Amino acid sequence: MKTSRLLLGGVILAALLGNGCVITSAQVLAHYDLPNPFTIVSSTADHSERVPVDLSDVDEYNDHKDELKGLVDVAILGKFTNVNGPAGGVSVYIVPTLDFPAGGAPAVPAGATLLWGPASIGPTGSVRVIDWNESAGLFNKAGKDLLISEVKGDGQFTLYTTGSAGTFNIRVDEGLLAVVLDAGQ
Amino acid sequence: MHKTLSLALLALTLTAGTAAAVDIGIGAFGGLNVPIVNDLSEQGSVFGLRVPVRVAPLLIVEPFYSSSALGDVEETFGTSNTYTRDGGDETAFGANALFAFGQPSFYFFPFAGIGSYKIERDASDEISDVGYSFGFGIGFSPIPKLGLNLRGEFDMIMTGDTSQKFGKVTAGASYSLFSL
Repeated sequence: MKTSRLLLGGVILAALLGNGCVITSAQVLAHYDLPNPFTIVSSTADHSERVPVDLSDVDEYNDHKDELKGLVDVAILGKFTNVNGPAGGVSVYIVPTLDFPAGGAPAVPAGATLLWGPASIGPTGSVRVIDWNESAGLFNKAGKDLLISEVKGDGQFTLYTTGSAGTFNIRVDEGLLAVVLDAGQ
Repeated sequence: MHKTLSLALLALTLTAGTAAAVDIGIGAFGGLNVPIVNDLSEQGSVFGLRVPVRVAPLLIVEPFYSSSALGDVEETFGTSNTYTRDGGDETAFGANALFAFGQPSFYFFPFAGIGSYKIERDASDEISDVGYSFGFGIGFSPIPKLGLNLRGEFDMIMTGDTSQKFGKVTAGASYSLFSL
């Protein structure tokens, strides 16, 4: 009997140690506020909205920066209002650099990676608060992988938001990037 | 990872096989499942089945299956909107080893186990990994063949370099079916 208990204990202990001691890990919800409000307009000079993101402004990120293993959940949230234009979609692209200045940009950079979208919105006057579950499902794998890489790196990147309809003027109120950090020693 | 699980289950089976006689029962349980340092979910419920096999006076090997409906997360992020994220569902099957001390009418038992855990959440990749459980319980038998137990359990699902952890408090009942 004593041998059996030792065997069982040994198997469990070996399994734990073999996987690294991960007891102190945690999944931490954090968010980054996007400019409030910002608009996505289909003019030649302002075809997309450039949003530099520096996660070092987020307390939860700084608290766990040195022990980050990845992201276990991510979403882009906010209230989308179609100020003027037909029904269409909103998409977000990501580049791994911190591009300035913030605000309107003539186009999404050629090397940008689709991160999220398109999230649909109705014609002029439509207002939509994006659902958290739906938003989590709108991520493109390549863009999400790049986002995870940036979060585990310097935490600095730039989002470019744009519309899919021919003409668009969409206002985003209280927009934010919500992430669940996967942190462990 | 699956090799580790197989080895552990083999060890449990061998442990059972060395006993001279076994008493086999079936039981059900239910209770609370509380995520620990885990913002992906809120408190939810857990239900399941256990098959306690007493292989020696002090040792019970217990295959189990459990299903948890974890609570949704609600958050405003400081905005005027309230957002809700699916908390997900957790299922698990595996085996525990219970070390029972006391009399059949009243006993307490530390236990440890290993299992295959799966977590599914809307719009998220499914997590399917090995998990370990540790805990402590008390049991008593108000009438012959019927056992009742209350236990607290710590589950740790290994997800690569990190883990997702849950605390479970359950109440269960079991019935001794037969002895071999």
